Amino acid sequence: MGALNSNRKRGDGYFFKLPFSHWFNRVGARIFKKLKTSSVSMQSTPESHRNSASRVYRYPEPVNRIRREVHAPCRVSRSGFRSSSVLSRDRESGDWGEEGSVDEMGNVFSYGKLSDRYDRRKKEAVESLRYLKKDDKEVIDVDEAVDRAYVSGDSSVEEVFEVVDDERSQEENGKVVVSDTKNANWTEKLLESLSLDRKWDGPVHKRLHENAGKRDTKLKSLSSSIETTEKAWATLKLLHPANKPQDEDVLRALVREAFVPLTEEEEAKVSWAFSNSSRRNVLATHEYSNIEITGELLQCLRPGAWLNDEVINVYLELLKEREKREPEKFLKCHFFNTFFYKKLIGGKNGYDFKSVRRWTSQRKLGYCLLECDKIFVPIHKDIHWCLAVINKKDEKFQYLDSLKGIDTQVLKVLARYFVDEVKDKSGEDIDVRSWKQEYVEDLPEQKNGSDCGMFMIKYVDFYSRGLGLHFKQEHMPYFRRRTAKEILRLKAE
Amino acid sequence: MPEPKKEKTHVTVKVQRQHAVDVFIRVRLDLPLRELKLAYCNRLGLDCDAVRFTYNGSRIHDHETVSDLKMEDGDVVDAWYDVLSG
Repeated sequence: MGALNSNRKRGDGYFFKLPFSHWFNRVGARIFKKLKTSSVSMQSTPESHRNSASRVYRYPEPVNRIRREVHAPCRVSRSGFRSSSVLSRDRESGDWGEEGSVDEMGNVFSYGKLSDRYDRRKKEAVESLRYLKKDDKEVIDVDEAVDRAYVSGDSSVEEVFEVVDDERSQEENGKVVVSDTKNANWTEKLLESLSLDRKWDGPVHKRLHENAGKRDTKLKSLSSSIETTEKAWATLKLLHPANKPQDEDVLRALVREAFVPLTEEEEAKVSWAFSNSSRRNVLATHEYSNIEITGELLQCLRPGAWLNDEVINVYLELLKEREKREPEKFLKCHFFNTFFYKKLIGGKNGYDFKSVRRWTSQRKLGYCLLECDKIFVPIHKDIHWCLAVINKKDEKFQYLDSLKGIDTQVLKVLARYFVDEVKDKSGEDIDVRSWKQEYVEDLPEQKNGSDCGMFMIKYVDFYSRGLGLHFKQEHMPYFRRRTAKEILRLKAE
Repeated sequence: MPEPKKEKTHVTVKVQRQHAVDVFIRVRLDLPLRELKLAYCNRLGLDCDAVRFTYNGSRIHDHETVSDLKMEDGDVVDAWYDVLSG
């Protein structure tokens, strides 16, 4: 359809210009010839001719009248409309000249008569013009235009013949009409050639019916595609991590829990911890991991600051403790610290399982990685934090980058690691070839250059809750303060 | 007459750091590992507060000893620098 429309639009100017120039060339040339023969002292006052097209008529000067009219059509021949009006006057002036020579009784009389005639001709001309224009328009903007255009072309022919009584002008108008109908036919042809994929041989209703049929099949295919996407959506929903708590209310409560505002007391404490006065103080010591958080370290949670790996590691420890505290509420996860991936790829070949083999011993962890639903691996890329997830629950490897970067190496290495790890710890051979490697696209995006660490730990937080990633950049200032609070209390909620 | 089964008193551990040469340090079994950290940092001229030491992925406490962690000869201790990222 688009192609067709544009064709028509192009046709607009096309049709409008061509018929007139065509018409004018025929008629105007003839007149010019005629006038040339009749005028003798034409060059006497050429300047006054220009602007006096209408005044000539109002203040008739019998002697010079013909001569003045001579140049008019030549001068304004560009636009179709004006040339035609001038032309009609020209025709008239031809009459005029005859009348002037015959009737010498008075100008007033001939003036009235002539003005009548002029008005009539003008009307005719304008009317025929209007028809012509209408034709063009109709050809241009409607589907069944060709037939109608043809009809209106006919009607213009009729009308012109009705009105015309003068012999010569009849001849002229006849010519105009001929060219007019010609135009109609011609535009029809042109339209056919312009419209790309149409068959014009059938009647209008057939064609319309055909078109409607086409749309019908389109609709059918659309509805079927809607169906399939809906199905896909449903399955996706089932797969979605937000589905662990089946109950809607429980889910809502969980989401609400992730956004509990800080109390005034907590706010005050965080503000104090962020202030420079507590820079040197040790604000919290995580006994189990032996990480001391000083004011200086915690200040990386101030808005706009880059996150320190120490803070991330503490927070991940807290998430693990949270899960141990309330195992029924959170997914069983393992959180690797920020060193793990670097160590894993630290070997000569870009993969060194041996060096991390003892990181996950049963004795050390108290559980086996194979038991976990999700294993989170923070990825540090020079100046950017990303997250990789070994998602055993959904059997896939996920890569989450708040800047939507992609690193195929990470998931390959992790797939290999997971196979080796399972084999080492449980002796099983696990096949992860069927596991999907997913670069999560539908995730909250980072809009600045400082929040990637915060995004990363919140991906971990939400996924370990079994929730989808229902947060945005706008929540980051809140998450920063909340994380600071949780680290100060050494307890993640 | 050789002493029967003399208890081992020292282990030699390897301290690894990214983009750095491995350093072997011999440590007495009952020595708090704070000493190992200091020795490493002094040797390489590093700020001890800025370097973290992990053994098998866990942070080494200052007061822990080799025997606490059941370290053996040739075990690797990792040293890490602060990392900041946005």
